[in-house]
Amino acid sequence: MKSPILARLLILTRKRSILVALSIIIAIALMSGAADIISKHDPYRIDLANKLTPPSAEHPMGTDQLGRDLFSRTLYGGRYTLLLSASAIALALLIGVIVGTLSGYYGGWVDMGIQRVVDILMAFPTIILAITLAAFIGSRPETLVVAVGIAESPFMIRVIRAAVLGVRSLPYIEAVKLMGYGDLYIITRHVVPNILYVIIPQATLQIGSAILVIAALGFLGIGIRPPTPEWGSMLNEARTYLMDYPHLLLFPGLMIFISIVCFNIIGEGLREIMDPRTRMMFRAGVRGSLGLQRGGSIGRHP
Amino acid sequence: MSRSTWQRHISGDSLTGLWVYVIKRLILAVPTIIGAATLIFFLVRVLPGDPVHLLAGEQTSPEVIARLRAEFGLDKPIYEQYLLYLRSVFMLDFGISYRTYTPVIVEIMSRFPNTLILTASSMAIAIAIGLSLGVLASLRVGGIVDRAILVFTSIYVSMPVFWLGLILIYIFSINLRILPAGGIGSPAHLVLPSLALSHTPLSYIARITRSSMIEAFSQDHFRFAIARGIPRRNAILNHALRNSMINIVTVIGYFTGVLLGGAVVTETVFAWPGVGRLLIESIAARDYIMVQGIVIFITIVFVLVNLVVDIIYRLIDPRVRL
Repeated sequence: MKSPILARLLILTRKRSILVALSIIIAIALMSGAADIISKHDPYRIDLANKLTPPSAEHPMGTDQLGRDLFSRTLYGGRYTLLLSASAIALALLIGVIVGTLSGYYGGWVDMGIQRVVDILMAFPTIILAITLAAFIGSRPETLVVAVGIAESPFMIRVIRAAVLGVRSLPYIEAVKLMGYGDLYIITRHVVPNILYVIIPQATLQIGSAILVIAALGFLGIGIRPPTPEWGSMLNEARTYLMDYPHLLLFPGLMIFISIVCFNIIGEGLREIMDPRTRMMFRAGVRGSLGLQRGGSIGRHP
Repeated sequence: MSRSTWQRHISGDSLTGLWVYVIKRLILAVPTIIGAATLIFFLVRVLPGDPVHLLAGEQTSPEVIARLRAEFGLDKPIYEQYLLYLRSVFMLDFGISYRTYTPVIVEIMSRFPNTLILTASSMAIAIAIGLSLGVLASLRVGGIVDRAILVFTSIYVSMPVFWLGLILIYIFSINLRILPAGGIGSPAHLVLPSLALSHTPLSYIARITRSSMIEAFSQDHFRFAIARGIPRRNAILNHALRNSMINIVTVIGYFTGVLLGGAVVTETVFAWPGVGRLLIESIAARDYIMVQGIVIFITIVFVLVNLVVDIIYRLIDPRVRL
């Protein structure tokens, strides 16, 4: 993946909106990662004497119904929401690359079989699949990653398969085959590097989708449970205080919103820059482009 | 699309072709639904622990367990259980809720009309506003209105629906006190949940309308219509928009399916008694028979709506040969 993709990635830095979005995401991630340094308050420490205070110098975002520092909880919450979403997409990506490549590269019965299984997964709306899996396999962080990763994988598989189909028939792949190289070599050295322009934007867009699903699960009480801070479950806890203490809902919601906007901007920008054929794909029909856009934003609509 | 195309398309051979297509798709939907039902069957049973404990809850006496075991056929071999289960799925018999002691399908059907109403009004809002924004943007490509609409839709679509819902409640129910925050009963109760739920389809409809319109403007038939001296307004509505509808209808259909099955979060935020909220209530109550039934039901609805969308798509696109 030396030259063209790296070169296009460098162009990224020239697009201001992407640069801004990227900086915001990095800032949020760094602040969440360094939460224990930035905030001196323990996100779990209950202090009923100081509950539901408005933002102040001591508590920049105020305190919640149990007197816990909201700023601290929001920072720590990012660890859960962002890390779980990114892990879920990493899993979906792994599934997508392996299964999608097999399906597209070998075609025939392998493809038929795999695509029927994908059909089954796609018969569930994403959020329903994630809810069902989480309800049955549990809502520990690692099972949530599995649930959301599986729920997000069908789009990844479809997109990667379509890209592989496009690459597979190119003359130079035929040439490599004639040179006697094995399938594994061709797939890892020639097929996958050539579809990175599809994979990278798709994965970025789907992180936005995963954040939404993880937060929605938390909000519904199926995901990360209180007292663990996670943006969605923090909103769920704070719901009852909407009337009198709306600031409890402002910050976690804003963080989810900003993160999703940023990942969408980066993903869309990446797609525009990395894929010169975006427009042609749009013309290829709405169903096709829906499949592509899905991860970005269509994949998530609870 | 001119009238003659329509007539040619709907009549004679292509109509038989359409029926063949519909039947073919219906047959193809069956294995998908069987697959989804199988997935859920094994999700419930492959789990560590006794499915009866899972279905009935932890604190159940041994006698009750034994009775349930027989009642659910769990004393039979697994393949027999599976076949019985599949048969009942196709008869839409999802069993008896452990929580309410009513048949699951009865519970679902008592909630489904509410989900239908919510979906219909959300889609009405999404189509009305989305189409208008899309057409407006396409008429001024690159202009300030176009860019504003693009920015608005991309930001709006990124809003988590639960947060948007809570903001709407805060503004309209708590501060302005003009709309109810939740529940059901009057048309006013429908406004906020519909607004919240419509935000994703609205943004997508606006975007697909814009891009389809821009494409239609560059096509020969549109230029010819303008050249023939047809008023610009008519040309836009009758030529560009009608052609764009092929793409737009697909997006509308897709979201109708998603909303029918996936309005879980919106229904929870607004205490709207639909199927999605029933699912969450049942999960909270560990009523897994109900959960299993609802998920299969949602899947069937989703598959059928997608099928209808594909049929409509083929019906209105004269380029697609059946």
